[in-house]
Amino acid sequence: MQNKELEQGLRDRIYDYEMPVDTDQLWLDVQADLQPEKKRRSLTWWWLPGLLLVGSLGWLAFGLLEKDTARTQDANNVDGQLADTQPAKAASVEDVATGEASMATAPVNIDESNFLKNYIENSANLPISPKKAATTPPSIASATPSPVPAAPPNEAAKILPLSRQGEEMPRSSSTKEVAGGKRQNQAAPRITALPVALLPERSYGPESPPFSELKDPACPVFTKRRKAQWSIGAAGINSKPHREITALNVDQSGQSIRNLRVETPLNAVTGQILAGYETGSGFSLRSGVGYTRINSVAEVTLDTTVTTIGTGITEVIINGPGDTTFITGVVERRITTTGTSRYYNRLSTIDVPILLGKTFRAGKWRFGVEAGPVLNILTSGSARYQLADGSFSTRADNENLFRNRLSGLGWQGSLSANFQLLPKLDVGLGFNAYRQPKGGFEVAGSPTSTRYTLYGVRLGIKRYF
Amino acid sequence: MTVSTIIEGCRRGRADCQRELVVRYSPQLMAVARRYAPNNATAKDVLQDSLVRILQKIDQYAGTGSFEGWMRRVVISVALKQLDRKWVRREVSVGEQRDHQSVAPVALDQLATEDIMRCISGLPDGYRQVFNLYAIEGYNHREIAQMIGVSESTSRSQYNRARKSLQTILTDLKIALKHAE
Repeated sequence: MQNKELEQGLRDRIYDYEMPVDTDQLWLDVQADLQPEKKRRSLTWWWLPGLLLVGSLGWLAFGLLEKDTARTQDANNVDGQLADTQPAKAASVEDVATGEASMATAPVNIDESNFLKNYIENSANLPISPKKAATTPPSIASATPSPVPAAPPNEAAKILPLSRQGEEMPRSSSTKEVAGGKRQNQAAPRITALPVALLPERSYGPESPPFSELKDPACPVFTKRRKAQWSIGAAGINSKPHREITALNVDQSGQSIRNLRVETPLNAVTGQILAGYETGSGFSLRSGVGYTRINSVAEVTLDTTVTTIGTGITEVIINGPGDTTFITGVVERRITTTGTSRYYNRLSTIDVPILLGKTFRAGKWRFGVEAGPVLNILTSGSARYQLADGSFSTRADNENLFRNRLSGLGWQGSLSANFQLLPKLDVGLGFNAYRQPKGGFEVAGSPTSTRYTLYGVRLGIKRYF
Repeated sequence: MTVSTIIEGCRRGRADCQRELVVRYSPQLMAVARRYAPNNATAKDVLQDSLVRILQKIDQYAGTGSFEGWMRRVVISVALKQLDRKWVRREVSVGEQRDHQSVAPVALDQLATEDIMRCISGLPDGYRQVFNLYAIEGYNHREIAQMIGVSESTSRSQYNRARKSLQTILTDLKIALKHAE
């Protein structure tokens, strides 16, 4: 039979062939497949605005938290109090100096961080005697709202610098005595000192440490609230993948599951670039883009049996000595070939993580925890496989095994320890867990799917601005 | 219900027209799916996915060619993707080739269509795809190469091997039938 005849004969027989189908059940199945597709599509269109809304609300909440934290800390921060009350303080000092209720109008320049130093230095010019200071009306101190308890008037002298106690303060050249023992300013005051009642007693006691020691950040007077700052960072993660195979209907997808089980994940590598904002209290919101590559191998051993039919000796008849008859006939031969096929596969994903975090400081170390959703926006891959004879066959990227994986939402969490290498540069090491969205290797709606969870070591660098 | 009524109704999302399409064309499309799938279960999956895709993409049918031909192409496309997506790619090494005896024209007549379908199903995946596309659907090797992602020469050699394998199977079947008589 010629090839054309064979093809034509087959075509005539089977082109319009029909096979019986349970159409009622099939219609129900098709109907069920059509329905979720609509829901899935609507969800696909709505999750992005929803995510943006949640992100915006989170950002707003962080902003409010930041303001609230700043307000709370300012209220407890002596520096902040002093800065806020400078005009009143100047007026108070002037009032003490003159003994009158006149308000000073000249600005008083006080560097917060060096205010104690300024205070000590300028105390030499302070036109006030300890005796006079002791008579300072309590209303001056109590007029300033402060959580720091105001020193009683009779203790004012005690909390002045030791070197000035008991001494007659030299009078300023700009101050002269007038009749009645009152002094009057001739020019704008150059006093930069502060009311002693506002200062913590232990910072000015007789045993006060030298100024250099007072600069220790542990001293509450000099403790500054950490500033909120922007950061950008890069991290590399090497992970061990763990894969789950799920199926809602084992009967229908049993073969697919068996096929998927021949694959063994090897390793995964992730690279992320994240930028974000960290509040003074250590809360952070970071987002960026990440690339993950999962390498795996699928190995299967196949037994291929080929049956051939040929002519051979089927019967031997010995008629007598030297007289043997061989009867030939059809002989069936079966040859089984066993070969191992390996497929080296690559799954690549591009993700957008949105991570909320909290950082704890300890000296130059920062310990952080971060977690949040990861949006898988693109998935691709390729597979090259090894044939039984050892040769490789390469498939194009657009014909890979993963092209129909589904995008979706996963999550990521990490614990890290960062060391401050430079004033604004941290390097970190940590543990990372990344649960990828569920991906299907079948057509949309198929019950069989896989899901990777990656556990790995994270090495990162972060730059603050 | 005419074909144009069914198509128009499906475009408007009418359930009765969709059901009519499924009931009327499923047996024919099932036979197409069965020729590409290695077993009945996979063929049913292919058919179901194909019908879903047909109903979703029916707007893309221009109305110029045969509607049945368009649906067949959808089924073939789904079947090829389904098979391509399988993790296990069977690479069959044929241990020994022998000179194939010619099959007498009467052999095909002696066989029931179900037996011929079974013979085609017995071919390895790659052979079966190429054989169906070339011998039954009538695509040329260039089109087949583009459809399944192989070179044109690979398609040609796969087809030759598929034809020889099928001839072997048909010969064996004929011999078996002869012995049965």
